[in-house]
Amino acid sequence: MRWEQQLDGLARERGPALVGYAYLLTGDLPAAQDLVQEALIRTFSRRGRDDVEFLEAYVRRTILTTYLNGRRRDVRWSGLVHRVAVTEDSVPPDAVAAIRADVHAALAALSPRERACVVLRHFEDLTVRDVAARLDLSEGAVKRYLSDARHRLAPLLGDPDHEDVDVITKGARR
Amino acid sequence: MSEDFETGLRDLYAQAAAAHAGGDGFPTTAMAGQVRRNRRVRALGVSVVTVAVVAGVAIGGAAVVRLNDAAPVPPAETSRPDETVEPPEITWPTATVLTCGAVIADLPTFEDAPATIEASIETPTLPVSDALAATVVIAATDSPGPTIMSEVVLGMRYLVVQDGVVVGIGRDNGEAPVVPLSGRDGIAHEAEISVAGCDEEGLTTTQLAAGDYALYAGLVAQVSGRPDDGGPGDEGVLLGGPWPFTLIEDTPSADPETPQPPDELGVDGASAAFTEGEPLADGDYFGLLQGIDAANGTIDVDLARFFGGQAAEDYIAANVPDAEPLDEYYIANDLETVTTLPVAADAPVWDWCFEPTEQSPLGYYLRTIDEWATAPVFADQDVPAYQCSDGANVLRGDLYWLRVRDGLVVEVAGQYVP
Repeated sequence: MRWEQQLDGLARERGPALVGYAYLLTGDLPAAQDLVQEALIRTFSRRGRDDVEFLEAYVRRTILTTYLNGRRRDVRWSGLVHRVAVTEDSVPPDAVAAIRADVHAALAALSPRERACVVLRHFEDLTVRDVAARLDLSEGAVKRYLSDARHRLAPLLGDPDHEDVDVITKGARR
Repeated sequence: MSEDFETGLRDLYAQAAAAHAGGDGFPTTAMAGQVRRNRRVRALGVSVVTVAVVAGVAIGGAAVVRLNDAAPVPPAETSRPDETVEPPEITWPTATVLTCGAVIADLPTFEDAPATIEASIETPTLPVSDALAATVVIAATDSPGPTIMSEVVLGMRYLVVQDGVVVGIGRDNGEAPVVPLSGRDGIAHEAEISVAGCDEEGLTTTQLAAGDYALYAGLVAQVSGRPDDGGPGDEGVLLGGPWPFTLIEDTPSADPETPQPPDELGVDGASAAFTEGEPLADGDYFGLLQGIDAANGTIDVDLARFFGGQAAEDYIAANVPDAEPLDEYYIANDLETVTTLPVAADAPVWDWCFEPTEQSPLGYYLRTIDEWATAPVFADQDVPAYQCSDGANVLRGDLYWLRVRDGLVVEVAGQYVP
């Protein structure tokens, strides 16, 4: 199968699923579609022709890195020094969010790293170790992100559950 | 995390997937064209400069295209696998790349431009960190002259030029025009343009220095409608400018009610190097706070190295090439060794807190070492206090810059990490 057909087939057959995944990261449907489109182009621009079996996995990984790198670019653009906080752009709820506006709002309160960790841990059901591997982070850093995320989410979701909370007192490190 | 939250994630996922499935799908023909160009460029070993943002144009309800490559893809109809006809490929002249290092005089502008671009900068002299406010007007040249094909109106790029060479790129923070010019006399747009300087690799990662510049606006376009035009039409660059402007140094905040730690502490890219067990020379060090003994005027810290921005990328490239800087920073801490350091009795301690302003989302809460020692920490609070208005309840952090002079910590500043 030519790569053009693979691209077309993947975009048509798995496009909705990929957009759904990207939406959990962006919280905005057009942004999610843009993210998937960019990830598809990047994936097919770089990969060889023998990777058909894992194409979707590659695209999902590229969605994640493109999302995080895109946020880093935005930080660069802002001209802020690295000591300064990075605030998530405010994404107003769209029609998609209406079904679960509470969860949409909760996700919007997270930093990109926290959001990525939450999606991988609680949507993809990855272990902390796997999340760390996926994001090139230490397990401690992932626990910290998840812990911070849980604390931010708790007031919004009334979450009394303390799993994953392994609060650590040290910062991100090697 | 609650089961309801996870169910909510799946609901949002399913809803977004369904919304996409109900739309027009991806413009795979155009995407394939972009892939082809990327592969060709990679094969030639040519470095295509990434531009942070390319504004797309929504046409007929198709998804907005925002790609980072030099020659963006216009939206196109979704193809089907049984279609065997190769899509016509537009060959973009490489010189039309409106990006870092481009020479304005070499850009292939139209001899008979189908439109003009004019702009007026609201405040042509402004601090380096401010955005340019400008009214930009794209106007059709005449009628019935050539018209710009809507499919290839790809979005405006703003170029910052010195001595005829692009030294920076501007990004429009506003609502960029998303309508085709074809059939219109013109489009006016209120732009808010953030500018960034080009680095040695042609990436816009630096802040432009104070100085005189010229702003240009460029639009890669293809035209149709010429009397003898049987093909897709001429391609070229619609170029507007120059519009001079001057960047001046930022004026430091004079608000005495908003204390700030010294600018130079923690913003020079990397903390000072040290050798475990040896006395610290004068410098700005970074550490993870382990304890405070206010009575004896000492703190226990696990010294580490902090790398920010380019320094983080350089360190990672040299030491941990498989990793990636997190949000522009990287903390290296090979040895978890606690070091006890004496702190000057009058050393100011700055703990960060959230106090959003136009300039920064962060503020700082000033403490003495005694106040620092008794300040609440994360685990002590049911509801974390991160707002500056929380006053004494602002949380004590665990990541700090330590200014050391003559073996004494004379100033402390908390480090926020996203």
